[in-house]
Amino acid sequence: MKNKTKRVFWGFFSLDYKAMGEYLGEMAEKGWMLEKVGRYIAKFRAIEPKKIKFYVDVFKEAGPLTPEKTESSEEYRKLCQESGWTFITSQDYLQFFYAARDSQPVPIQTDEEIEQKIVEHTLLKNELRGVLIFAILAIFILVRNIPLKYTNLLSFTGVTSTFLFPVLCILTAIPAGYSIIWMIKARRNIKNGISITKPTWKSARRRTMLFYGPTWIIILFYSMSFIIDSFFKPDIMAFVFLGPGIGTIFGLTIRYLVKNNKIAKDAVLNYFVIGMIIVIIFVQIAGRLIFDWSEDIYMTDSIPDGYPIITLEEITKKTSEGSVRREFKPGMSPIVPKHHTYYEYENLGDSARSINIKYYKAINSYFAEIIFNGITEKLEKGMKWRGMTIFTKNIITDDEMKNLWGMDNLALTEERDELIIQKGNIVLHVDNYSKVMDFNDKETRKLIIDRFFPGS
Amino acid sequence: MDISTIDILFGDDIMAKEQLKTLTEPMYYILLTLSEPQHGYGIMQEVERRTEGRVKIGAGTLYNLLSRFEDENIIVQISEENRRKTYTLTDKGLNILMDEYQRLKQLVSDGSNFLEGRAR
Repeated sequence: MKNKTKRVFWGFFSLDYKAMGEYLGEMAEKGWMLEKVGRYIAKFRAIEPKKIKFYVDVFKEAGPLTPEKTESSEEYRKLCQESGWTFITSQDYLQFFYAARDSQPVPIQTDEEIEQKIVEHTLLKNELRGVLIFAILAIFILVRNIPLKYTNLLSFTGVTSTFLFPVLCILTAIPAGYSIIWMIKARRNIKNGISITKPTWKSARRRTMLFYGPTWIIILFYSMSFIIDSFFKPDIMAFVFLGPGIGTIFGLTIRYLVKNNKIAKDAVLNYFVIGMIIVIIFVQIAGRLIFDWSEDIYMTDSIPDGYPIITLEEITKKTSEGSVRREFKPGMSPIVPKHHTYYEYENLGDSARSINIKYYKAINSYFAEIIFNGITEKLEKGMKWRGMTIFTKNIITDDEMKNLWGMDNLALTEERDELIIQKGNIVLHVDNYSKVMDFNDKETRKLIIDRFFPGS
Repeated sequence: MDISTIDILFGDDIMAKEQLKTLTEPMYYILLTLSEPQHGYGIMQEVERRTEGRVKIGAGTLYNLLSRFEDENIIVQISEENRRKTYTLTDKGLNILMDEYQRLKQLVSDGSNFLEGRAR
């Protein structure tokens, strides 16, 4: 029994610190004594069930980037100890104490106005700072993704972001809203000479679950999306994860070292700047290595069944004369369950020819139309490179040609080197850069329609 | 506790520039106790003894008050032994305490003239 420990979900907002003592008291009565508190998990050890008083105080000189033990925290804890409160552990600003049930120690805070000011300057500020950083990030992401981008519909992560990220933003407003309500209520109570409201631990838990429950479900969706997308685009996913992954590991390491007095708090900014430089350099080097490695991963000689393509041999009706390189990139998402890119390049020595086909099979014609419009807009906008816009294309629509092809939508570039067609839930984008195809040719049209739009 | 006291504790408002105009009861007793050198827990005990248990100061509240008094040069640390700091009043602190004492005396005197006259 002595060594028996258990870890439980620590489901409290920091502003509900007054409810934590009551919860810890109930745990002690059940035979579990608090040992350590993390952001999400608390560790308890088995004891003889007994009644114990707990007090959770907010210490303004602590914090997320302050060592567990400092001269001031030791002085403060000693003072609490002398007044009858035994220190257990701390979690950022929160300090956990206990006293025997039958003892009558003076509460650690006896002036609620001072207490309220401390909470505003620590917990509240910390909470709102986090929400503010997320809000800036959220606005940046939302602005980039509105209106709906067709490229976001092509991956699980993109679809999750499109539909669940706005929900995540709303959920994040819950702690911010609660913080502001807490502050208004606390100020009003103090002004009226009433104590700061002490929530029950059960109501505090319900509030936290309201936030964490849906948030975790969304995070679970994101995690599953990352894993599925990694099967299709390992290089992209590795690169996307590289920066945030290394940055998080670096940040947690700095926090651990500061908390354990391994580096001085004052030097955190220097370490942060050095760390950022190292992370950026590392990401640059590793990114290059990832893309060097990925050059070969999409190369293929055979295409799986069910993925329609047209080869250069079929178009030119000639067997390959030079070296041929084929790339095949399949993908899937809940909105576009099947899509792929097929690229074939034939080096003929003094010349070369190629074809690039992008095929999208969406769940319905609504999303297929979004993809069609997205591709044409992207071609019209071109690319931004060093402040210039390059590769812009003039898109033309040809109703006569559309009827001839029997498509719902048809667009092609003025140079007639790219064709985008949509019928029902299928979209096809053919890049005919080396002019191996004539889109006005009847046989070419028949080949494309039979292959990509069977039954039309 | 009035707003100027709180602002002195956190020193982030214009009001903070206005020095202690009035002291709260715990603040008054802490300064009174520190007319002689005393450590934190000693202050808590002494205040409780002098007020016969009427005024009790929690360790967290005391810590915050002491650290701000020290920042404001109202008290000064004179020794430290085993993480137990001993403080005493500075001249500035003594002046603040004396001002408050005079103010309270005036309040009692004014109240006495008026209320005792009415009582007769």
